[in-house]
Amino acid sequence: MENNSMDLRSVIGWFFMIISVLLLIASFTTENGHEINLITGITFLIFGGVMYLLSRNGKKKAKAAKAAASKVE
Amino acid sequence: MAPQTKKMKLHLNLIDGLVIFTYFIFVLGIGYVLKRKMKTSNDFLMSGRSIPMWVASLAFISANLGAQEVLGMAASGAKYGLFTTHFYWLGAAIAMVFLGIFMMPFYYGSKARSVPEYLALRYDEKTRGFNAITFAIMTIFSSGISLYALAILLEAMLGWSFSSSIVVASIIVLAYTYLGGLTSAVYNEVLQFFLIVLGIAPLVYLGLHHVGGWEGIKHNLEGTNLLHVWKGMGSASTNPLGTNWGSLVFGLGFVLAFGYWCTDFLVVQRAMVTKNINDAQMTPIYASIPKIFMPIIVILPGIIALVLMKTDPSYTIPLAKGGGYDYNMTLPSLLQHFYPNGLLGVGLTALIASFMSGMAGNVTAFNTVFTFDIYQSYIKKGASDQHYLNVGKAVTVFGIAASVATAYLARSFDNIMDFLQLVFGFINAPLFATFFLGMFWKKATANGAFYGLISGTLAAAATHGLTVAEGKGGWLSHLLGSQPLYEYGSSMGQNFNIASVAFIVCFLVTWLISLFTQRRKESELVGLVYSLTERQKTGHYVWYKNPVIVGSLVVIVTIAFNIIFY
Repeated sequence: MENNSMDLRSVIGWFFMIISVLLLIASFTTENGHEINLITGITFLIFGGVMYLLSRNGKKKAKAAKAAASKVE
Repeated sequence: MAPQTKKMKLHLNLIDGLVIFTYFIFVLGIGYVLKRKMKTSNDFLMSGRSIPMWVASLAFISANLGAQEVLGMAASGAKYGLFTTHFYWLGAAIAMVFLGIFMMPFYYGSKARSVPEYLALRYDEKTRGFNAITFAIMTIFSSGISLYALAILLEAMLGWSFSSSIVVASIIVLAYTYLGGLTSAVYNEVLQFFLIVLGIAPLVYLGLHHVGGWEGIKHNLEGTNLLHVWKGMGSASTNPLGTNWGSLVFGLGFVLAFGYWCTDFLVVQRAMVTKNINDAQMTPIYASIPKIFMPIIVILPGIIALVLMKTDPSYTIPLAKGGGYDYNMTLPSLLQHFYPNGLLGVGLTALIASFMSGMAGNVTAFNTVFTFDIYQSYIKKGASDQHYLNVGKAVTVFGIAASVATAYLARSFDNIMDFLQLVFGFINAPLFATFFLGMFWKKATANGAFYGLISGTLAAAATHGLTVAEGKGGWLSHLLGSQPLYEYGSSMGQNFNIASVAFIVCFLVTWLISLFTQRRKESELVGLVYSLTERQKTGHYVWYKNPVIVGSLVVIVTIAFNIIFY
């Protein structure tokens, strides 16, 4: 992903985390559907967080690999 | 639609609007960020062959997760029950495994940039030209259908006019495909995949909970065979598909499924842009794993809707203008029934995403084929790369405009899936015979392939014109002033047989002409034909990167599903 200067996992992570916040707000502000908005919001938050962490981990690994390659050179 | 528009209209609040707005911002943002990387025609049309396998795999199924899958499969689920799973458990999964193991080494190894270009390498330019033109027409049809489906959805659910829905959707898809090319389409397809799955999954949960789970469904549909996959397939009159097992296995399981998944550049392109041949092979095979489970998201809601109509007086599938149920509105009506504000925005965005995904996938395949296989091959050879990049961008604009025109045409068909099968039958079914012979029979000649393709396509058109199903077809009989030769129990059954006839005619004509025409030297066919190409050794791959091992596991699970739901 890095060769296109965008890590898709990070984009997906941010997207679902933002949507999860909206769902959590909805769960407390709408009359009906408190429970399903809350459950879905939490699920999205976890999924978004995992994607974001995977992206950070990937970046760290790529950096370490780059550093190792430059040492060899 | 007008009487139902009132019934179906959703009451969105600020949070629903913000969900949709956030999605549009991300979609356009991806295109904008990728814009500066689009320096060559290869970047724009082929993603520089640098897409990671997991992205390619999800894009591979997401490119197909357009209107025909999300709205059409829920519609078919309500109409045909579990029989609809044949599109997955008989067709898609096995065809995807076949593509990965047997066909992808030739596509990727030949360094062709498109499926028509492989035909040019294996046969000749006229076969490529014929395929490129028919494929271009097909992608525009498919793209237009996605746009049409989105427009009727927004018309019914938000009260937007058909035309304004089309303008808004087409401008957004145009913006991100024009800015970021194929890479933008592929990245967005992955985002759309997760959004569709996670956005519709709560509907399945709520629906199942409401009808008493799978046991509740079984109890309420007792006495019908809608929860079986094979029961009643002995005769066309004893199952809702209106076809028998022979037509189903050959027409759908072999011809249509293999024709679509193994030769349609729209999906094959997603595997061709990966970094190496192993990734290219594993892309469709990994994609087949979520594909097997996709009926839970796209078919089960249709079955839940059937049960709800029996058990919940407040729910019904909306009625169509001309009478009967408007099955295409099954999924939107369920969203309206179950989703509260907040989640309603997510569900609606998931539907919008599926249509955009289908449309963008078709448009990006169209611009690649038009630029490389039509423009560069027949109109202007040897121009600068910048010129082809500009042409690719201009063709993207043209593709969207043509899709808009097609969307209006698609309005006259009441079941999108039936319509798509018809189009694929005309184009993909004979093409699979051409590829099959080309890859596995070294004696197939260019003239054989060309005339075989034309004969197969004409045979498909003639079969459609001489038979009728649900009032469709029979146009040739009408022109000749005679009665149709045969009346099918359903459009689906008619489509399977059209595809079968097209395949058989193409196969026989190609075989016959090849016997009497000059074939190419064997040395020219190395890397293009199975028997003349050294087998790729896969023993050194770990098991999860070995196409044969993972492919076999997928086939075993698929067979198990067929047995469990017999």
